This record gives sequence, structure tokens and C-alpha cells, in this order.
Amino acid sequence: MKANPINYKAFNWLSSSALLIALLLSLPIFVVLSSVFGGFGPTWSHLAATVLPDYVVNSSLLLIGVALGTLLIGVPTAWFTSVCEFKGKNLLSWALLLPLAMPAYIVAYTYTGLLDFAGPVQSTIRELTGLRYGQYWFFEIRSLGGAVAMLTLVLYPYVYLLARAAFLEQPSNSLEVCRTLGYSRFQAFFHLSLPMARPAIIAGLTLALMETLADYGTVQFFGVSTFTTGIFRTFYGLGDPAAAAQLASLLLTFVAFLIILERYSRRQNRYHNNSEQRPPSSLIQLSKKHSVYVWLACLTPITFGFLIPATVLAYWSLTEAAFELAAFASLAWNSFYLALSAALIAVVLSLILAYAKRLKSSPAVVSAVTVAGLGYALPGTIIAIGILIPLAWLDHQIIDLFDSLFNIELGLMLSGTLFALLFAYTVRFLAVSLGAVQSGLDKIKPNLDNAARSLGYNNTGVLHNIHVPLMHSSLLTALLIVFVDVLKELPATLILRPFNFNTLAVHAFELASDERLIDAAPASLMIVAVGLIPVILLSRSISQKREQN
Amino acid sequence: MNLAKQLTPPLLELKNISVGYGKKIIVKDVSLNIAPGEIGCLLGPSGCGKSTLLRAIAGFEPVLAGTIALFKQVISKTNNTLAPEHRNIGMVFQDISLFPHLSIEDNICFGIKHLSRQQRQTRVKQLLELVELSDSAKSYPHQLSGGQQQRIALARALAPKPKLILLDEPFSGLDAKLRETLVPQVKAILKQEKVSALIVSHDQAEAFAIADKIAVMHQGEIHQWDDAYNSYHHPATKFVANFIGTSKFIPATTVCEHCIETSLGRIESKEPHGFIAGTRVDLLVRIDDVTHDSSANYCGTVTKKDFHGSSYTYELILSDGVTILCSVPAKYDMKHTIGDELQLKLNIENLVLFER
Repeated sequence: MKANPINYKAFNWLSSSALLIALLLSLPIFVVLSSVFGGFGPTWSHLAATVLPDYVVNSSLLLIGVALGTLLIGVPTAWFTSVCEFKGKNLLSWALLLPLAMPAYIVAYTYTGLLDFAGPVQSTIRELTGLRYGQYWFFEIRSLGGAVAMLTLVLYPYVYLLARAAFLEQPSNSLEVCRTLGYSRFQAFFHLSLPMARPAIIAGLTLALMETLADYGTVQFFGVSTFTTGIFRTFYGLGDPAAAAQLASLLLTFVAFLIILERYSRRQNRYHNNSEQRPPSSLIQLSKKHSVYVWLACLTPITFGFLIPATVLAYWSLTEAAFELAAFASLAWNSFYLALSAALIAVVLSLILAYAKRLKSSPAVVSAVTVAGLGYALPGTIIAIGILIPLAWLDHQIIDLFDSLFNIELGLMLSGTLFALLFAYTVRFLAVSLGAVQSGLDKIKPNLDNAARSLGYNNTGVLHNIHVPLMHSSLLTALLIVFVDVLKELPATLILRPFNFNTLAVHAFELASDERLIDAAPASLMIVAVGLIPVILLSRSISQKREQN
Repeated sequence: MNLAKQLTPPLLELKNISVGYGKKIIVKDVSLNIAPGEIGCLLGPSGCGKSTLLRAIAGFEPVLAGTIALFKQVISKTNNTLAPEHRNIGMVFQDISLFPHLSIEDNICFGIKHLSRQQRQTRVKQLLELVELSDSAKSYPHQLSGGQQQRIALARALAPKPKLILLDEPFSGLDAKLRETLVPQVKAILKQEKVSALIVSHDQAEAFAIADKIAVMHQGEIHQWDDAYNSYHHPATKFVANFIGTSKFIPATTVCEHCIETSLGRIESKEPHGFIAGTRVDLLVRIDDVTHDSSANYCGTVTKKDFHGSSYTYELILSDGVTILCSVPAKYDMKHTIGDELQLKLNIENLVLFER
């Protein structure tokens, strides 16, 4: 029997707030989509005739490249660290997550600093060989291929993480059945493990591809024309918000495809859930020789995705970078309070949504929660445009109103302020905190509520005595993940930040754009260092799960 | 039944209640009373609505029709449900649901925070002794075994001294051996605390072992509300007859007011069976009503044979195609195999008949 916690009319306000939140958060999507119906202006026909094919081709190639790259790295490493047994496996399975702390644009700055013409690698080659510019071939990092490499290096952990969880959850006896039917271990992997893990792998892949589509910092820096750079150019360069929004809605169709793919694969995933314990005998014991190969295979992405860029950033920060403490402190403070406010807002809204769903799971509330969680798939550029257009309109209405009624001249109250920025962060990252809060709440069995109710506690009492103590770690996690994501966020911040307001990410971006890659290192290093915290938490929660089994 | 017991007002009184979600009615027009100190059991197959009925009594589900009264005070009626926390009804859940973040002691104290520290400690000590887990006060739920956790859950529900306690399949998560020892233990605890209880179960042996009265439920309705003996020997409906005990129906025709004719001969009962002569009926034949007797005149062909250690169960087909079950003590086993003929005798004193 389904044991729902009781629902009473008193909770109607929760449901209504959930609907209101969903409505507000979906505003940017509606604005962007409605731009299609506003008619296509001359800018659009100009775009379509000149750069639009480039955007489509480059974005598609980027997606294909990153898809291949993340699968090629993510799936084998996941399989090694879940099914095989070798020395140092726990260390590797943890370290493979490290590149998650690296924003793609920061990795791009680091490798450009290392590998471009003036960088230490090429200089050393020239010194050793005596060749000069043009006399030797070297990989051009600032290219589509370079962007694929950078994005792959930091996004493969999504595939790795979900594939690994899927491999671990596969019941060992189905593998044993396969063996008794005459399959070798290798054949069993291709005929059984891989197909069973496919929904999870696709889910991980779609997450990586959503990040790829959302990326602005890397492609902009490498001079690759994609949708995100196109939206920026149309918005600032051509000064045409309507055309930018139309471009954004085209990008939205790519995103929609990924969302559908992800939802679909997750739905399949549910049937494969099995938390049966895997006996140690089912693990493949690797010989010394094979262990070395596996080590190399796992260490390569860790080295290029984390160790090298982190070391280089640390080295630059400590030696050559121009660093001014007061200016840096004010940047860090801006980033800190912005990220913290956004995290607090996201967690509070998540709590409202999660409780509305738990206490009154009506179709309206369920779809509200789904809609509110869609933002994670939306590139920051789309959200920024979708927020800026209505807020600017609202601002001008207010200004006109005050001007005509009271003869008072007001400035921009919404669009050029932190309000717009916080709004965008909430849209983009609510799903992250919602996920953490919901999983925390789901762990509290409904019968715990019922038991407390039958012992004389009302809803508030249950919240205070049962939910808060059981949930506080989930809430902290939610807060932290949003905090870090906001800290790393670049495109929406660039568009929506108030005049002269800088964050660490924007500062690093601006210095890098001015070819001052080394000076960008301290800000980048700070972002990476803070970004490590959730990675550590993540790996800790994974190893805890393993202990519980 | 003695007069005093009849005059005691019921503790819990369900009057024609219906419960459901949306348009789906899960409990239909159910009425029953529970006397003070009585242990009742809602027995039925899964999906019969017994858990939903229990949740309605606890106040977790509103009733669509009818009333639920505790000590003559209505606690549930249409559009009016007293919140569970105001009912003073204890509940033990199938999934145990101890609070994982609280120690055993704090779990038990959870419902008696209004008492003084001294009183709380006394009550915890008393309850832990009652459930024989005095050493576990400082432990946490995950450190205890399933059976121990369920005893603590019972102690927690008993702590505020509720007049009624509801138990939703409390033993179904435990293994059979543990259940055998825990069921009588729980019964003794409930009787010692003098608390009324209503327990939900799908297991007939469990119901017989713990309950004073059993409500057999099927498809949202109560078919019979009676003690264990009557449920077994005087089943009110065909469903009850079938659900309780191991049995088969064989066709029969009434001959006079005391006797009937079956394919295993004529059977006579002491009491009149209440059908007029010539009625076509089904006779309930329990597995222990049929014995193997080499001098008997009737026989059946063995179609199945199961070994149970102390006995064999034979499934036999009679000459008219009707199947019947027969239990034979293993030590007298005649090494009959499938296809053999077995002489059978019916030993039925009390006829259980249903019109066909």
C-alpha cells in the first residue's frame, strides 16, 4: 500500500507557492520562445546568410567531438574502477572526479598559456632544435579541435560517474548467468554490462553535452563561432536583442533534444536499479602488467584534466602573476556574497518545491517541480537574454510611470542590478539544489512522519524533530553545490552583472581576453580550489555508500 | 459471552465507513467494534483494504462515509478528520520506522516529552524491561536486529499509554523462526499493558496466535468478524472458508435436514444444516476431514503427493472429477504414488455448506 504522508487543506499555500515559483523560473524560456513569433528582422536574414551555418556546424561538431571524447574516457575508466580489482583502485576512482572542479575556460587559458607560440613548450622546442616560427608544425590549441579537447577533459567525469554507478549496481549474478551460458568476461561486457549500463551512460553523456552547449568561455577564447558566441555577438555587437533571442531559441531546440534524451534514458534507468551486494569474487583480479595499463589509462585524463592545469595555475600564481591583494579581496568578496545569496535562495525555493511535492503530490505540483528543475539544461546565455528582455521592459515601464506621475527620474531598478543576476542563477542552478534536497527528503520514509504524528506531533513538530535533524547534511550539500556553480558561472554573469561589478570568473575572463593569461591565474586558482570542495564531498558520499553495502 | 462484557461500551466503533482515493473505493461499508483490552485482527489477502482501513483509524486517511468513534467520541466522519496527533492512538509500522537519528531511549521518549524527566526515565525503564531489551537504551536503531527493532517500535508506541494501538503487518519483515517467538511475546506485552489492539495480517497462523477476534476482509469488505474458532469452524462466507485453513469444496445434495449425499457417501450431522431437501450445495472439506482407511468403500486417484516431514499431503481426484486433499501421517505412509488408488473416508461432524 502506498503510504503517503497525510495532506490537509492547510498545505494549499505550499502548492500555490510551488506553482508561482515554477512560473517565475520558466519566464526566460517563454521570453526566448516567444521571440520566434515576433517576426524576423533584417539582422536575422543577415545572420542566416552569413554566420548561422557556421554556428550550426561548429556547435554540432563540438557536440559530436565531446560526445566521442567523454565516452572514450568515461566508460572504460568507469569499468576499470568498478569491475576490476587492482592496487590503488580507490585512489584512482576518487581522483578521476578531480577535473570536475575545473571550469573548461580555465583549463583553456592554462593550456593556451602552455602551448601557444610564446608558451614554454614551443619555446623549449625552438631552443632545442634551433627552428623558428613557421619552420615546424605544432598543434594549434585555439581551434575547434582544441575546444573539443578542453571540454572533454573536464566533462568526462559526468559519463564516468553515472556509468560507474550503473556498473556497480549491476547484480553480479546476471554476469554469472552470462558466463554459464558460454560468454567470456570480455564478451559478457559487450553483450550484457554495456547494454545494461546504456541508459546511465546516455544520461551522463547528455549532462556533458548540455555543459558543452552552455559553454561560452572556451569557444569564445578559442575563436570558435558557436551559438553562445553568436548570441553574445548579436546582442552586443549588433545590438539586436530580438535576433539574439531568436538565435537562443534555435539553440533551445538542441537543448530540448538533449532534455528528452536524458529524461528518456533516466526512465529506463529506473528499471535497472539494483543495490544487491557484489561478492568480491566477482571482481576481475588484474595481473601486474594489466594493472600498469589500467593505471596509465586512468592517470592520463587525471593528469591532463587536473594535475597539469592545477600545477601550472599554482606556479603562475606564486611566481609571475601580477597580484594586488586589496583588489583581489574585493573580487573574492563579490563572488562570495553573490554565490552565497544565490545558494540560499535556491535552497529555500527547493525546500518549498520539495515539500509541496511530498505533502500534496498533485499533477500540477509535480509538473511545477519538473519545470522549475529544467534550468540546468539551459545555457547561461539563454537565461540571461530571457531575463534581460522582460526586466528591461519592466524597468522602463516603472521609469516612465514615475516620471509621468511624480516627475522623479529613476535609474534601472531590476535589469542592471544584482537582482537580475540572482534571478538568473536561481533559474540555472535550482535543479542542483532541488536534487540534493529531494534526495535528502526521500530518504525520510513517510512512515517516520506517520510515526511522529501518531505520537502526538503536528506537522511543524515533525519538521522540527524529524526532518531538520535528518536533512541538515543534504541542505548543506545543496547550499555548497550551488555556491560553487555560481562561482564558476561565466556567460550569464557577463551579460547581467551591474556596471563595474566584477567577480573572480569575470576577472579571469577579462584578463585572459587581454592575453594576460598568467595574471588570470590567481583568480582561476581560487575558483578551482573552491570547486574542489564538492568533488571531495561527492567522492566521500560515494565511498560511504560503498561501506554501507 | 458473559453479561458484563456485553455491557462494556466499545472502545473503538466503526460504523459503515468507506475509504478511498478519488473515485476508487478501497474500504466499503465496514462496521466493527473493539472492546477494551481486546486484540482484533484484520486478516485478508494483499490488496483487500486492510492497511487502508487501519490508516483511516489512525487518522492518516479521511473517511468518505460513516464514522469512527473512540470512547463514543467521533474522530472521523465525512469531511472531518481529527489529526492523528490528537487521537492518542499508537501505531507500529510494517517498515518499523524507528527514528534513525535518535537513540533507543530517545525513540521511546519521543511521544512522552511532556512528562517530567523522572517520569520519562521510569517509563523507558519499564518498557525496555517489558520488551526485554534493557541493555539497549543507549544503542541506535541500526545496531539492533529486525526483531529487536520491532520490539522497540512497539515500546515507542506504548510509551504514551494509548488506549488503542494499531499494528500494520508488524511481523511481515521478519523471518519465520523469529516470528514464532515474537508473536506470543507481543501478545503478552499487549495484554500486560491492558491496551486494545488492532493488527493487520495476511497470515492466518499469526492471526490465530495473537487475536481475540478476527475480521476476514476481501475486496474492501469484512466477511466475518468473529473469534478464531468460529472463523475456522463456522465460516460465514465461501471466501472465509477458502481463505482460512487448507480445504476443497465438493458438490453435494441435501437429503434431509440433517444429512447430505456426496460422491464420498452420505454424511449426517447432529445439527440441522438449514437447507431444504434436494438443494444442490458445496460442502467444505478440510484437509483433516479426510482420512485414509483401507476398509472404506470410496476411493480416489492420487494426482499429487507432497512431503511435509511429519505428514504427506495427497491431492486426489474422485470418480466424478472432483479434487480433494488428504493428509496422511508420514509414519503410516503406504508408499502410494501418483496414479494409485487410495481408500478414503470422510469424518465430518459439522457440515459447512454453501448453496451452489
